[in-house]
Amino acid sequence: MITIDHVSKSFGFIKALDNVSFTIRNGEIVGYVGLNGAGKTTTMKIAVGVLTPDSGDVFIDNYSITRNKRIASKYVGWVPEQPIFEMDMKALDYFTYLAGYYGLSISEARSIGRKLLEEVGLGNALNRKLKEYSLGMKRRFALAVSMINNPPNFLFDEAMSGLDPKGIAFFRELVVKLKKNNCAILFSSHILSEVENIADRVVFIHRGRIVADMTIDEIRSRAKPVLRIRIEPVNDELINILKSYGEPRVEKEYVYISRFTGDSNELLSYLIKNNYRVLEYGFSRLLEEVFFELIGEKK
Amino acid sequence: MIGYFTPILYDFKRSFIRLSTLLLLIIFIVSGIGLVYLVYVNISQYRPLIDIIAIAIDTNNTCLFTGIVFDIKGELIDNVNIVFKIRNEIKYSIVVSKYFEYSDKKICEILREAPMIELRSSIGVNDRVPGVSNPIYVNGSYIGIYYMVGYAGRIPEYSAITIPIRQGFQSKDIESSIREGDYEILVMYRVLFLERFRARAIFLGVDFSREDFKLNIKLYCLFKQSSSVNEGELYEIGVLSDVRYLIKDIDLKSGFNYIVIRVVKNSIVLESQSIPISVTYTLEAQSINLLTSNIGLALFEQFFPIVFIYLAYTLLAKPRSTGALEFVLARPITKWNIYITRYLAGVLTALVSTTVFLLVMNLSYLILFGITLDLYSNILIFIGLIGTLIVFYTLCYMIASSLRSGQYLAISITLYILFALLWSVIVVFITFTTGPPDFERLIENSYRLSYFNPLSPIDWAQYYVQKHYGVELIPLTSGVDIDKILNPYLVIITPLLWISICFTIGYIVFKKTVLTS
Repeated sequence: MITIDHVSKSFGFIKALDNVSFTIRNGEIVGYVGLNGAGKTTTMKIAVGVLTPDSGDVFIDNYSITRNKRIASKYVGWVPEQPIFEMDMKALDYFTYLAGYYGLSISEARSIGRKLLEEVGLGNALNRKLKEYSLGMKRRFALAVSMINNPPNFLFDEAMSGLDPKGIAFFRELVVKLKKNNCAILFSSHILSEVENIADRVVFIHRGRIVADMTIDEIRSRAKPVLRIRIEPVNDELINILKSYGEPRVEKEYVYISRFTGDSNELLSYLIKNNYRVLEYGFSRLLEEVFFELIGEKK
Repeated sequence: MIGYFTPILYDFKRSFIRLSTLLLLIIFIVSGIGLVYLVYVNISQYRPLIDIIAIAIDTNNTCLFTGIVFDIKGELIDNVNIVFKIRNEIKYSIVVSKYFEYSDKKICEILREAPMIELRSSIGVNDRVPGVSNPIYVNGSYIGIYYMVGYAGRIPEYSAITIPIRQGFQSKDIESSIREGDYEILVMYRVLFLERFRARAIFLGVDFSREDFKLNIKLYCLFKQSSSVNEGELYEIGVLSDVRYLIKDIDLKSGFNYIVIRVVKNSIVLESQSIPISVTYTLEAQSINLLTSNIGLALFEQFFPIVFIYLAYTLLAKPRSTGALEFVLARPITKWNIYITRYLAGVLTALVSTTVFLLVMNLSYLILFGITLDLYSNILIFIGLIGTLIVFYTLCYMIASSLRSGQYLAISITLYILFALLWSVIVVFITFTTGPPDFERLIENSYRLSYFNPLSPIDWAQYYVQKHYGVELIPLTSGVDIDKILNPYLVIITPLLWISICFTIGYIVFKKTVLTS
């Protein structure tokens, strides 16, 4: 369990976090959503002990990260947004080096390193220097490192960005597996659809403050459904038709209908019957709608 | 517990087993071997690894070649191949051991042509040129020309000869003979210094006198200002009569010493000759003097700190600047652990590189000279080198903990230039701007100001090693007493202060530093 307890942090005159508190319970996946610079990364860095809060504390399985860092850090794995390593080292060597801090001998560390790096798909790049790794590979490496001692808590900071679809799928499966193992997981992501798909709960942060902490069910019930259609041609006649179902707006090749009312299947049949070419059709981006509603800003 | 050392080992591996460190270490090892070889070449000019005192007595019908072969310490040795060469062509070759007598007319014939004599044994090779004497007449009868195989390029004379000072050392090799009337005595000898006031004297005596006039040759030591002999002042070394050679260890005293050679017949002293012996440096002292010179350890001291600028950069400044330490800090450790682990890796690199350097140097000594520096000197040089490297590394490490890569490199390189290259200029400047520009003040200031230079520990170690071997660093006439300036307590405390202050400041800054890039 991870407890963020009234954490505040300033960088000079900029208040990065203002009295941030929330909890991630065991067996729970919590999405952490906010704009760039909202304070997500700062929260995670404080939680993992690489930044010191100005006030407040973080408890990892009840161990204070500020007072008992050496113990607390054993119980949490972290994948940073920008994994920066000592790039001149080979992957397996660096893994072994870091594993040493967990009290593993060289032989143990190398054995675990081979296993975990293979699990994250880096089995064929064990002896490559980290500077030769792509961003995706670095994330996978950081993921393997976060699992060195099989901790019960995880912090994933934008862990999916830069990953290819296969990587995203791998990450999704991993998170679900960790949840089954009763781990507490906090992850931030710009891919809000993934947050919706994976998270049990979402914590919204804006300008260093927590603006909401909601379960996915609460988000779904709060969000006004938005219908997203990729359709050709987009013309005035189409917009007039759609206005009777909600508030249409056009963004690139998509038409979004907010506050949708009516039967979506009936609308689809009507459009096809009237010779519109429907390429994509469905409801989407509940989380995004809720988020922007919460922060009171337009997309 | 074992696992906890893994990061230190890996940081050490990263710092030591890197191309730049290894390359420089190899360069220094090669330089170290070259340096020892240089010392060897220098010393072997007047102190060969194998040596010979021999004489060939050429009479009408026979040629007796007799003498002794010994090593650099004056121990008689076996299986020395004596090769006589004329214009690089081998004319004759014999293998002799310890004291030898060898008769062959051909040897004298070859010796008349002034060949090069080459001594070869398992411990080395040495060249000699024989000297040729005038014919000797005993009671008016010609008995032969003899050939002394003595010092390279030097023709032996009947009187004691003083060998001019070369390379700052006075030679200990003196050849002497005594002649009077109808008897003829030849004494050749060598004095090899084992310790500062202890020498091994090697004598080879030949009595050319008439058969009925055989003599005793009594050898004495005399310790006094003048060579005039009072009986009570003589210390007997030994007697050459039945034996042809004598090897004796003799204790000398500071100041003037003489070897007195007396020719005695029926307790009557027929001839007495005193030959001065200058107390001079031992082989170790000679080599340590060269070793600790500007071409010696100074090389290691001057340039190896560059590696430690780079190590502090790689281990701390660079990963701190890029943000790589942040990922490391996410492990179950604190900033202290990162700080100390990487510091120890650098210290370990200093320890290993210095150990390797000294081992190779000692091994080279052992192979070339058959000696090594004594334990005391090795420990002092080791501590001096280690102290210098660690103090400088700690200084760089402190800078690395507070500055980003570029700034770190600029400042640490500037400090290196200041301490390693410009320091003597600073000392001269301070001396000449604060008083009369004399040599004594310059020497005094160079030692006084050394406390403020982190690269000084090796200089202090060299001073104490040279002192241990009795090598004079400063001309005695200068009147500078370095012992009064160089306080041994400060010599120990100063590096410790440098290390603890730099280390502590570095940690205080590092603790407050945000490790994010």
